[in-house]
Amino acid sequence: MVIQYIVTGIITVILIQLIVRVIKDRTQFFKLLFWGMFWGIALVFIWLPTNTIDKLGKLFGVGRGIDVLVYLSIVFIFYYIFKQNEKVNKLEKQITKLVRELAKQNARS
Amino acid sequence: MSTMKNADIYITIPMYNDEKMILNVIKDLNNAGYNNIVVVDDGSKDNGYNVVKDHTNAIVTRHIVNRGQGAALQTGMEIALDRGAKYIIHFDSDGQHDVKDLDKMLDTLVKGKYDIVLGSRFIQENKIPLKKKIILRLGIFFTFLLSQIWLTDVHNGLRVMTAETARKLDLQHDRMEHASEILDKVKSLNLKYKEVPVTIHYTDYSQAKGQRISNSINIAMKLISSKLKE
Repeated sequence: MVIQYIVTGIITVILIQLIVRVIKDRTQFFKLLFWGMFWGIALVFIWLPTNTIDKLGKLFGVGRGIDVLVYLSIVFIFYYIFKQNEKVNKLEKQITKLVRELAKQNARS
Repeated sequence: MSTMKNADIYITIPMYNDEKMILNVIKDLNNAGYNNIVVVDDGSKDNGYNVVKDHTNAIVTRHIVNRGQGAALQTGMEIALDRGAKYIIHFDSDGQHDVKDLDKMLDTLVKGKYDIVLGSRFIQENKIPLKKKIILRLGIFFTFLLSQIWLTDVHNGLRVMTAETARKLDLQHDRMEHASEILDKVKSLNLKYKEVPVTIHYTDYSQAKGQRISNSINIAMKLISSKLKE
């Protein structure tokens, strides 16, 4: 299927970018490990034969295997957004604290 | 104001792009005998900070980036408390509030031994634009649902409180949700409160700067989500 080649192409670009980033900054190695595994698994699923994925679907009681993957992706994405949101809120609080401290130090009468 | 010393009273004014109005606001306060004024410029794009610094005797500072009215109020209160304030007043920078209301509010606070006195524009006849009226009424109902406190006006920025109350409030919501946060804390901290009728001057200027309906929805969403987290 054409879609398999397109997605593979996109994932390859992402992986190359990841590797380039780690070459520039070795401290990001664990990030590469995590995302490398993530995209690697995605690649495996993309190229698994359809009936193998459909067995997975039956296991979960969902008709097609691909549906299971889509559901799982949505759960993952929502969780990720939630986590990012929490991070942003925390950052906002820290920024306010910082800005307030500066303002208090620079108050003049 | 016969019941207290002016030196004990600090007025906190969060300011955002109010260069045109701020001098009048401060002048009115000074003329009425209020000299401890803390202006917190909340990252304005105009020259308000310098205007206040160069032309008034107010204590002035600025947030180097915009953090919202709640954040600016909290900064102002902390500065006032550090300088030994015994009473703290929240006052708007856009000329909506009337200095004449302050004596009455302070008097009520002290004589009634209240923790906080809140201004209300609905108790007495004010010319409130209809659209604004509807939003404000919805806000009253919404506040009751969230905080079980029934007031006649929930988003009035004019408040007078004791230093102890200001310390307890410790505002966490940086943006407009702080108004509801204050009421929520009045309830949860069991503060003794009273509403006092105040005059609000609805000028074209203050209207243009006021809250939009879409923002009310935004505020409501944020408050619900913070309630769920409790």
